Amino acid sequence: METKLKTCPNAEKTIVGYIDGNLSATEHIAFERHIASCSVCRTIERELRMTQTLLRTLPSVDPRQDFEARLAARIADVKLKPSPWWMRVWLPSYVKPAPRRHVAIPVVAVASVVASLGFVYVSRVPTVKAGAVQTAAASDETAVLSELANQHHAASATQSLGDTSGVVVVASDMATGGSW
Amino acid sequence: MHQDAELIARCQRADASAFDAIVARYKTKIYHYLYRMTGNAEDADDLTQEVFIRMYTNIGKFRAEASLSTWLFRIAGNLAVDRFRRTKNSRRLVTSLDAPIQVGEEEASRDVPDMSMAPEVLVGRRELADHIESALAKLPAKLRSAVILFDVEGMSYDEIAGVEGIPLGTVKSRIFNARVALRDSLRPYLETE
Repeated sequence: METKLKTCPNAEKTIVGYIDGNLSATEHIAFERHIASCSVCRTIERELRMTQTLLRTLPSVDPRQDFEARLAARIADVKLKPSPWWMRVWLPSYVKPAPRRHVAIPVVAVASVVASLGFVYVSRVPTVKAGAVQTAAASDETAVLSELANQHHAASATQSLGDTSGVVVVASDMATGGSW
Repeated sequence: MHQDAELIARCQRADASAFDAIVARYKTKIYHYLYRMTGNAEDADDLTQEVFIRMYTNIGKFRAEASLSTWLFRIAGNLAVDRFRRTKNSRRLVTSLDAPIQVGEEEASRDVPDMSMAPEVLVGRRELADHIESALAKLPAKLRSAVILFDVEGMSYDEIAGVEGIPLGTVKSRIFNARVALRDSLRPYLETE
């Protein structure tokens, strides 16, 4: 019987997977077609399924009632050793509550990106303003720019102070008498 | 699983109550597995205690590369195999169904169940359990462990692969070979179906 079994491709693993319900739908259908025509595999499948049924009839067994008490007595002189702090902090595979670890990674990543963008923004705004002022001051078109700025200042005077565009800041400087 | 991770983290902060919770959670599963592996209550009890002592003394070094369940069953399996090697007590575990039993100073034939009865009828009978346990004890430890973990403990192939540290294909082969060997030992109970 087992000699014949070897002629069936992947019969062992397929039969086990079939009995245990671990075949894909395609594999399942293919194997059902196979055992319809292969009496060897069909017999083995039936007998192994019955064997599994017998195994599952084994009664459950429980440890003795005083299991914990005896265990406690055996470890009474031993203290739980906390893991070194650096292992808990630095080793990524170290035990931590799983959800926290999964949440922590994207939170830290997003926070890093936001912090980086904020730093770039904060560091660029004054540079742009100063550059614009210097360029404008050095330009032959200072008068034209002043005029445009005055017009913009007049137009934006009614806007809320929450507007953080560079132009408004420049206009405010002008309104307070600050130099360009 | 999440609860296991919390318990481990607490153990690693030397919280003894978390250790007690892990013992309460896993003692029956581990004992049951070791009872089927060793075939007797005394060894199963002793080894189950040893599993939790090992866990207790090594929890500080445990990493989340495997689940707590996988780790505990792996310790249990290794301890069972070590016990077999050290005590060479497989002779005590394996009993031929054909061998006579000793009754006082006389020998008597074994009480082999009525083969005309279907397996369902025999469920719950101690004698059937004895025959199955005897058939299990005849298996090589690797095959026995795989089939117990799957058919008795209800683990998945993936979990068994983790416990045994073997590829998925090897898990399937071991389960198949174990069932074939058990089928041969238990054939009298199968042929009536």
